[in-house]
Amino acid sequence: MTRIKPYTWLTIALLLISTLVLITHLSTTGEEFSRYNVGWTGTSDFFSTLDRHTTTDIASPSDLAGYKNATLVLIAPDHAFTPAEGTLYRDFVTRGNTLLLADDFGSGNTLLQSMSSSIVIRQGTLSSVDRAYNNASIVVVYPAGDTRFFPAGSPIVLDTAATLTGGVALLKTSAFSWVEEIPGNNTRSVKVLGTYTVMAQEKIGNGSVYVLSDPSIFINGMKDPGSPYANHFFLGEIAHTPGQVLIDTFGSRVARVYGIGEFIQSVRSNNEYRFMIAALLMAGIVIAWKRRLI
Amino acid sequence: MRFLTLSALLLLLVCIALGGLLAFATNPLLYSVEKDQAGSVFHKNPEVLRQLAINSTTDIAPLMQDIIDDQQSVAVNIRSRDLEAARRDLSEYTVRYGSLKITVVNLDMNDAEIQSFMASLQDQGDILEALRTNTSAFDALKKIAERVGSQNNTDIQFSVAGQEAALKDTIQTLNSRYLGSHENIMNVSKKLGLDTGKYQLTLAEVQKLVAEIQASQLVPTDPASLQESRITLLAEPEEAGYRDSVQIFGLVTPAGGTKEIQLHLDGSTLMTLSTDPKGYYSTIFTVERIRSGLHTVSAATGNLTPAERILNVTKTASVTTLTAKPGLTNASVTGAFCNGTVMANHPVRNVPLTILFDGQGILNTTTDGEGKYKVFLPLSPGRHTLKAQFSSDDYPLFPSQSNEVALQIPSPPISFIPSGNPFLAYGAVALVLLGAGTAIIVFVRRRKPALHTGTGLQKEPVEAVRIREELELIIREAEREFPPAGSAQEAALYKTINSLLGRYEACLRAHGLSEAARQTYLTLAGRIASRLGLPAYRTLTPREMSETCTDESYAGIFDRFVRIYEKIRYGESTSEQDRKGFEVELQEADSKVGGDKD
Repeated sequence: MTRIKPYTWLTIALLLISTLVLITHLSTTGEEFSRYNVGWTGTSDFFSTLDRHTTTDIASPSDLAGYKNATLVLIAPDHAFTPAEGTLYRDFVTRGNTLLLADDFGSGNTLLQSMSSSIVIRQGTLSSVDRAYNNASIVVVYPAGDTRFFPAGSPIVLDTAATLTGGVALLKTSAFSWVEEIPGNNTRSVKVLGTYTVMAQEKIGNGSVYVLSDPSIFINGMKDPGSPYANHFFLGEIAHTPGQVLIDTFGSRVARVYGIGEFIQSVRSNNEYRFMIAALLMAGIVIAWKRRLI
Repeated sequence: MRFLTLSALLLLLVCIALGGLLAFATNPLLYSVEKDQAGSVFHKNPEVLRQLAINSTTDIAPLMQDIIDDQQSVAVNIRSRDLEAARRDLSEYTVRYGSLKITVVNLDMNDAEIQSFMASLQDQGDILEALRTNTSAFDALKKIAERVGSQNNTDIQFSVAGQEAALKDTIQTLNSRYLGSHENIMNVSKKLGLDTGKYQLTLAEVQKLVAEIQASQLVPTDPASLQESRITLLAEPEEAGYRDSVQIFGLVTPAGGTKEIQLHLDGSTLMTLSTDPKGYYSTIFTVERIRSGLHTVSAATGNLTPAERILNVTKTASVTTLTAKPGLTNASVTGAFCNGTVMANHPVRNVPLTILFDGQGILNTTTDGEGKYKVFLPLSPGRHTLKAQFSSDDYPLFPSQSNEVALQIPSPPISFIPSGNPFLAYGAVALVLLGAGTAIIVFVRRRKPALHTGTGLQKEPVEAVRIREELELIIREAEREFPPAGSAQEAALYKTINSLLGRYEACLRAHGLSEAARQTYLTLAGRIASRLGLPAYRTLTPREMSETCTDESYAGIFDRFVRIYEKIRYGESTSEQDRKGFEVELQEADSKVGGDKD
């Protein structure tokens, strides 16, 4: 066997570490709300708190059949839901399950309409005098009644939220809040002061639909804006809610990943692929050993 | 071959790693806060925003409550004719409004519905201020009406009646404006949960005030008289002192369109005014730079006979103060810093002032817009007496002078820097310091012991000479024992045995493996040293020699040769396996190093 110099070993070690870092790096994504996104726009921190024994991905509405006393979390949907799909979601809720929809400017309204819900997400950016940061669209909202997701009286911070109409209000803004009805338009927008609803509940059959007009509460950048805000508690309550937690990956942006990351994630999520890669690596090592490369 | 394979594998891995990184170099996923500020339509990056420690509603709501409550005291004071208190309340209102406006801007609310609320608040402030001045004017008119009521002067009655109607019109318009903005403020206040109790009382006060003024009838008016062509003029008060405001107003009949009024004071043009469509005109004249005594104010328009009034300007007492303290200017000029004020119920603005010192000298200066003055009076060291004096016939003010101030002016401090151009003085000091520094350096260098050997300009440090001489000695001793490549001794050997392997074998037989290995190493090292230009190569160890040629094509071969050479020479190996291995590496190194050379 050829005697390999120490610096060669060092080089190999550095290369292996670099390759591991590169693979880890490539397995992430910049997609907003993606659980593979470790940046401030991703939801990797929230998903890392979920218990994998009680959490299941829902890749199709038909997978919702059979669940009871489960909570389906649908974050930032960008898929327009058909009436048929809406019926499956409605059946799921009617059986006594819970649907938590978090959406502001996505396709949440199509789901709510197809489920015949009275809650509507209004497409206008909410601003408020009550804010946690020096930006009017990062608003502080307050519980308006009892709920299973947050302690009464504790404010929560939302990041560029929309507003809701319909349902029973659970979270509201202060009176010093307004909605920009024509965001980004050169036309002068109308901004009306008032108290706006940002989270509402509606009973459907034996279950409930909760709608939060801001999915950004799940992103890494908003996980803990500090005291006295109850964001951390809110996320914790969802992650450890009683019963099965279902994550909707059918209509949501949380499972989005593209390019090399998509390949790496598909390998990571498939045991057969993982065994195959491990076998190939071992074969390579054996061949190198036989040829006295190492 | 194995080395090449390993190198190729390493190169491949490096290429993969670099390629992977380059593919994402333009759009890295390695986030940094600075690069990722913009966010999207869904969210802003809180990492780049400043966190606020206060609840903004608790800041703005009390401010808004205060400002709508403040209006009540203003309205009550106007109605009860405490107009000075109303003026103070309005000043406070303006300050609060400014604070609220800043808060609204800081909270990015100026585009929201709050903007109309702010506009209404500002408008109501202006309305209340206008109500205050018009109420004051109405009261002045009422005094004129009471004064001339028994004189049966139709001109004055005519003017008073016209002015009365004009003021009532203005106050009615202000009332309508107030009602309009009141509704908007009530709507927003209710929405924001503010207490509007006091604010509603304000409206009631304003309504009562307007109703009281509208119900007043100062002089009866004959409608027929309004058709005569004439101009009237009134001044109230007709006797005024320094900084008093005199209301000048009148009426041009018959009404119709705006007319230009030339207002004269003692025959000189004072100002030009315009009438409103009903023929009314008015202005305020402030008594300031005007001699005391009787003055004629006249108003003229077109070919109508000018109307005249007599204004009696009376003198007001003035008070002049002075404070002084000794001081220096330009570091050497002694004197006194004098300051003080001239007052006559109000600050006496922009008037000439004289400072008398020691009963004979004078210094002229002028007061500023607040009646203050500040001046440096050059004085010689010693005791001096100072006095400030105001006296001017151009103003309706009695002369005044301050108390006498006695002052001891000390001598100026002794300066080492000559007077005159400071740059020259400091330059001279700098040159002296530079010269002194140079002298010190020269002195120190001369006293320093000789640390160099040799002569001439290029002197070499003693320590460097010692090291160089030791190295030369080592090299000379080595060359005596082993001929360097290209030397006469080696040339003789070349003639006898013309191959390195042959010389190795001859030496192996004569001196053994260790010595033969050494000789061959030195031959190869000599060739490499000749190629790379290393005259002192014999001072290097074999490993150091190997490291000097790492960039050469034979680096790997020579490195392997050196390793087995070290095993034989320093490890004292005499095994057959090592000897054969050495000979294999020697052949390869000889062919590569020697071949390249030859």
